[in-house]
Amino acid sequence: MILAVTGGKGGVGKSTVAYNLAAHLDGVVVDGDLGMADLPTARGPDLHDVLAGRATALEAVREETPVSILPCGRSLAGARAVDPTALVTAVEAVERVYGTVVVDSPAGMRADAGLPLYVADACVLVTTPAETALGDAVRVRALARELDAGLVRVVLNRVDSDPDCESVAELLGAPVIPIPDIGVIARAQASGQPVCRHTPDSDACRPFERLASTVRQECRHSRSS
Amino acid sequence: MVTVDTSATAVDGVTLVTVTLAGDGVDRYVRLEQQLDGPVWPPRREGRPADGWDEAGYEGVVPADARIALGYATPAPPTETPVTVTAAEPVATRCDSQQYDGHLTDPDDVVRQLGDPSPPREAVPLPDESGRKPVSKPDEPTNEDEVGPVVKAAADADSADASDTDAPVRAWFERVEQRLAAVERLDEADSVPAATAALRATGGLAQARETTRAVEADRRRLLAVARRAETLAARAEAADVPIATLERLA
Repeated sequence: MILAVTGGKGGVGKSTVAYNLAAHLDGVVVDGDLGMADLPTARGPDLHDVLAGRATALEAVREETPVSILPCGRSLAGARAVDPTALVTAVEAVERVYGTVVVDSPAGMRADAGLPLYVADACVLVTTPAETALGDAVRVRALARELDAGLVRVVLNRVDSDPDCESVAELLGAPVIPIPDIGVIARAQASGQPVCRHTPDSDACRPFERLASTVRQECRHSRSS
Repeated sequence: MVTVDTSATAVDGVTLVTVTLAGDGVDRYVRLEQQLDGPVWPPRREGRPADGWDEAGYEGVVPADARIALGYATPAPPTETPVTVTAAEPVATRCDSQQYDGHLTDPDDVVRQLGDPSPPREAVPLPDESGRKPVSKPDEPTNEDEVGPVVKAAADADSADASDTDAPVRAWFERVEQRLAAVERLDEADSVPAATAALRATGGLAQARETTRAVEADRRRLLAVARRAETLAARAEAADVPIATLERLA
């Protein structure tokens, strides 16, 4: 199963959702943000090397990290030197060996945001309640439809105590899972750990558990049908 | 039958080919094959060959009562017949799966339609931006006594403390490695798509020429540094200062 975590706008929490989702699905998270990677990194070959033909995708996967990850390089020169279309075969190669891949997509609507949706079986759309974020989410929703990446759930991130999930679900055409705006999630991400490992008893783990469980069920269902 | 009109003009070592195809009353899928002795350099969109183009030519539909105009470049010298039509089937007889349905059907389509995501070249620092010698002057004669920033930095240092010189040495080696990696990628490219990708990664033909010249300058500098380092190491080895005697004399 290949899942793209997308959103359109930057800074809405795509990487946090992708990292925690991969942790709960016991999959590999691919940091697909070629120009502004922000998932944990590690020494050794990275996605820039893979997409430039200097390493294979499997060589670049790290299993020793809290969540297995294919990290991405940080330099603009590295981002410029890659063939972005090679992401498709790279992600498929990781899926063949590890089974579940979560691709953390970049912001925007260019090909680097489109290619994860192209290769994915399904997607999760992350947005905040802000109007600008919702506007971008609508555009990415349309792109996901065009690229046949079924929308499993919308994650409405950083919500207060009474979020308007219904109108967001109606706008984007999929059920919404809200994630509260609490510090423990950001602290876990900053420490390079998924929330369930950083603070195992926290309520903040639950939305990610629920999301992972839904993704598992829906993807299994769509495959069997 | 589709009417074909072609021209081939050589300009600065590159041949520009134009093709006009006129319909014959039936919509036809047409396949054009390059006849010149060289690769096709197709028109590009977002860095990818435009729709219908491949390494050998073009495939597309000529409408029943219309003309389409095409153009491409090639390094091969021109001849009177630069392309030939190798297929011209009526559209109706083609299998539906071969028709383009407007969807993004492969990764190249995604790039063509959504745009190349590479950061613009202007946003990427040049490898030598922080160096003391700009890469744009790699052909300057190299004096063995002045072998670039590394030795200069070492000569300026007040002490033999390695930390004073490590950073510029490392930085210089890293820049050389980046340039070498770029020319090695170009050298290893054994097909037109690979060469195109390597050229694109390097920043185009002009940048590739510049990097190649810089690598030649790097080679001379590296050898000069190696010779100088060897001489200094030999002198360091040979120097046997009689500290005890000097202390007695003092």
